[in-house]
Amino acid sequence: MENHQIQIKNTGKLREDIYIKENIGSKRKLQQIYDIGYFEIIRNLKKTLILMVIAFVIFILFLIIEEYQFGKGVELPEEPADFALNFLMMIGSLVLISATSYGCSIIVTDFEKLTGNILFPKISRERLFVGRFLANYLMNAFVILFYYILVAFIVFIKYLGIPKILWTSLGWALLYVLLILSFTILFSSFMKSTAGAVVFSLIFNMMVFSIIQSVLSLFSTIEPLFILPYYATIITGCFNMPEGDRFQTFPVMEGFDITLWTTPSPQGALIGTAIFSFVFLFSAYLIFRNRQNK
Amino acid sequence: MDPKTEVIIQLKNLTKKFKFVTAVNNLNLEIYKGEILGFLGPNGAGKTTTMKLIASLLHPNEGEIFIRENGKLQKLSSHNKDYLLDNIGFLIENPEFYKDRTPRQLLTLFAKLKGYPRKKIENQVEEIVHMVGLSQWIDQKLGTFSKGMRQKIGILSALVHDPSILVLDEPQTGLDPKARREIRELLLQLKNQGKTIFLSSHLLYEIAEIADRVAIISHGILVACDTLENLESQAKSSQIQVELLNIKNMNDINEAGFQIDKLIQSFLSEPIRYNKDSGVFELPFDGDPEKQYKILQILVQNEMKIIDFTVSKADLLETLYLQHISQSDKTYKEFQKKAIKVEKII
Ligand SMILES: Nc1ncnc2c1ncn2[C@@H]1O[C@H](COP(=O)(O)OP(=O)(O)O)[C@@H](O)[C@H]1O
Ligand SMILES: [Mg+2]
Repeated sequence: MENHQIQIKNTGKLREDIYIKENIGSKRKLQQIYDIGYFEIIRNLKKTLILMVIAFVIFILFLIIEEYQFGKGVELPEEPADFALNFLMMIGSLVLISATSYGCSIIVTDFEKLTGNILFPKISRERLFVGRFLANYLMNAFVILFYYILVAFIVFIKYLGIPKILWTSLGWALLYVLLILSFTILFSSFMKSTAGAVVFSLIFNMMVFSIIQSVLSLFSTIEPLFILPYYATIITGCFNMPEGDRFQTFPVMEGFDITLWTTPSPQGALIGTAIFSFVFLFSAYLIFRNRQNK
Repeated sequence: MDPKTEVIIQLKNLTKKFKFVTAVNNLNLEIYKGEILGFLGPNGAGKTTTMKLIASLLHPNEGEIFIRENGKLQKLSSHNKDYLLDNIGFLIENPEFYKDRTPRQLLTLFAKLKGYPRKKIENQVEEIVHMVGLSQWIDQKLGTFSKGMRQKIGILSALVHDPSILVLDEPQTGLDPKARREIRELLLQLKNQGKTIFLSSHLLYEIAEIADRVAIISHGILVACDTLENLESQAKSSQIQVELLNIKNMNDINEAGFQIDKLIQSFLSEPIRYNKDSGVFELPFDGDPEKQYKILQILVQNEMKIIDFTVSKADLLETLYLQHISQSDKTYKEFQKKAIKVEKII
């Protein structure tokens, strides 16, 4: 009672002693995930804009090449799908760049700069992880979608129609985003700095995997489903999915063949991505959960 | 019931072990409603760990934590922690912020996360930022803030959802004196609003002025917990500082010192000292307020020209604090020796 009167005197007004707590329980959990995700998207607006500019520049480069060839008298392909395909030659790299820049900072930032001190215990690590992952996936997907819209736009101008296969390809691209993003998040979960996570995941994706792949192509005919960049090939591969074998062998010398796989099958790509993404994300979460400051 | 003695958080036999240390060792502590409880201990004593245990950021190896909610003390567990911890605002270890965010953005996020009524958030954020005098800074990026300003925002981040309990880990550490005083004033203001504050520090003077009670922890063990007055009277030694009129040279000092000594020698635990820097006589005694009163009475009755007579709180407590810490250091070392011996035998 006494306390209450002091309150009135000091603040000049009656504060409600207990406010009504909103949505406790699972509704609160979802709300927290949403709030963290929203904050993350706003915080990363600049990054998203820069990546959209990069996507736009890539698109313009391809457009210049097309127009240049057209000017030299090379005719437009008969099929709009073939024309669209010309613009997708660098989509794997675009995914790699964007997923690396989104994924690598997800966990490590809060330890690198100790911003975790202010976040915990206001939110549990589990919900922070889910919220951030969803937000970053959405932003990344948006950048890729933006690129496809540019492509669809130019195809529509030239052919007055958009081939359906372009949207199938978009689907594979978004799946590839999931795969690479999960992989970079795993790096983010144990590396000491964002820069380190970026460098290492790029080294893996651009060098280590392709070295393993080339070595393997010499000695075996196993489909390289454990090589992440291989999953990028279906983004363009789906335009002309082979009826029979999805690999070709070239003899190098007596008894020595090189086996080149052109694209995973849709089932292979789906299952592979699902398994890898789950394993990467789950391990990242476990490492994050037990990670201590400094 | 007297609101002063209503327990709002209770720690029972709390123990937290890490690989090489027992950071918190069988800790029993009660926090009363409406008080400021200072949590004092040197670096590495286990203050942060204790607070992390309350925040459910760490799980104790043994012991329990009770938090009052709806009039009942309820045991903190993994399924009720969201609910019980809603009423507590935490600031644990140095707050670091996203440099490119503003106080408004950050505090709004925290209010949302804590389920503060959405319609009131904007108002609440503006009001509390105003309370610490940072209204013009509310939309500036946090990267441009001074340490003191950041610390204030850190405290606001703990109280934006208007909890009735605040757990603050060294909120004054690393700040300049002005910022420290501002933080202290803010904490007193919050106490007057009826909030309970559990506040840690490794420096006694940071909490001596505002804490109602002080808990001293060392090597994870609670060595004392009481009001300042009681702790002071427990202090085995302390000193009165007396400043006299017209003390100009060595002769004056000797003469006055001799006279004081003659009058009150029986009350003192050690010989009188004269502090040249501050120009005061230091009279070591056992801290008993009764004796303190007698000493003053005798000196005045004998017409000593006293112009200042103080028993500085901080000095006294410092002694007490160091006594407790060194005592616990000794016990700890003995304990370690024994442990090492046992290890050797095994
Ligand atoms: N995550 C941890 N792992 C191992 N030891 C820890 C950890 N956190 C704290 N400690 C140890 O526990 C003891 C108490 O630490 P802490 O609670 O941070 O002390 P304070 O906050 O009082 O300075 C220290 O010896 C510290 O090294
Ligand atoms: Mg600490």
